[in-house]
Amino acid sequence: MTPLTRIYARYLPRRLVWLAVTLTYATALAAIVFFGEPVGDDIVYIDLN
Amino acid sequence: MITLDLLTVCLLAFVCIPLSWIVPSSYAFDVVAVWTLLCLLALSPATAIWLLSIAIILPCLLSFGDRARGGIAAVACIALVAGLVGSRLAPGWAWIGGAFFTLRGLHIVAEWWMGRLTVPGLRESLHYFLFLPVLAAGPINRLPHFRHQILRRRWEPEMFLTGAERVLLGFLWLYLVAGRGIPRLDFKVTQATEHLAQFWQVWATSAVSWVELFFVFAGATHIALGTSLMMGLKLEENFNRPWVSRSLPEFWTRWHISLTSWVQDYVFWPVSALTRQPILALVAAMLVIGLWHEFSAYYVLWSFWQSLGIVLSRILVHYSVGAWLPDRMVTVLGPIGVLAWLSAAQPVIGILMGGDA
Repeated sequence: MTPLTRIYARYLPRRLVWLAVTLTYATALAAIVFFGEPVGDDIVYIDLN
Repeated sequence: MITLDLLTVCLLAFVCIPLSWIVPSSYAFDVVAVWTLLCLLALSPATAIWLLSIAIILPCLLSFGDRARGGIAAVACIALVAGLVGSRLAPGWAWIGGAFFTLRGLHIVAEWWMGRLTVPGLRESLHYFLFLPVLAAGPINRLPHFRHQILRRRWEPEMFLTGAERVLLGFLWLYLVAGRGIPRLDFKVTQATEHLAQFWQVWATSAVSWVELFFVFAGATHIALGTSLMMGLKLEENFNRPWVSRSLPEFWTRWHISLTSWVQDYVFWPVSALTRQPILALVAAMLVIGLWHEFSAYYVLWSFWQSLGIVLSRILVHYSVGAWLPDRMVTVLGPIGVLAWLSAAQPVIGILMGGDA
């Protein structure tokens, strides 16, 4: 089980776990795509910028 | 200067995942190494040439060195450090991940010199150094662990999905928390402190910067370790909930673990054993951590500030100051105190360097 599956398995019936995990992945991806912003220039990645 | 988005490196690293599973397992990491080299040649040819030189020359040099072990180890260490220093000082010569792969190289030399590591073969060295997922943001993984992980590697769907979850979490931290949430928090903090003296303003924004740094760096680490997991390799963790630390020494065992453990093994313990002065060893270790980040007067003073914090923390424990406080209160006040000390470095050093704060 993945960490997220383990969390949902604690609180949800078995047949709903995959749905909850899939919805979480989809929500996270949508949130990153629609609301994500690149990190400001003040944070320096060592030897990258 | 190389200007690169971490996203570019992450996306290129994702290509390693299908490559590592499609290609027959005995050649999988040869192909990953070739892909890493091609990416580096496209992004930064200087990095590609230097890293390839290290990966090829180091095992050859060490395999000749049984007779003059000390001399060869010294030459290898000087060459590696000189390469990093040169890349930092020469304009337009910055290396992608130079700080990380230099410490990996030094780790191999030190372990070989102490007789704890057999000389890696040429292919093994190429696999270890030319591993794109951990190139830009670490962790500073160790060769014996990497060797073991490659040997025990097999397809496990659970491991693959766990890795995918970590990658997703990393992107959430990078692009939602650090990219979107923290700038708004920074704005609010700046507004709330604008009537205060500059010292307090800088202190408050520095505290926000530490939180931002955590989400950026831990997010990048999640992506690196998640990608490695998706390739079947479980590499060393870099963070262990640093913001639950109840003291500064505890914080430095939870923050950027691969760097702090490297410095502990190859700077703190040797200096401590040679001089029998643990405080001197502590200052030397923090100085290495500071200069590893950046060669500047600020980071030299930053190292002294962190050393001072650790010494004061030890004194408080030694004289049982605050021992009467209830455990729950220490659990709450400890992390706040740690963040306050870490973020106070910026205004204090600002004053020491002649600025307003």
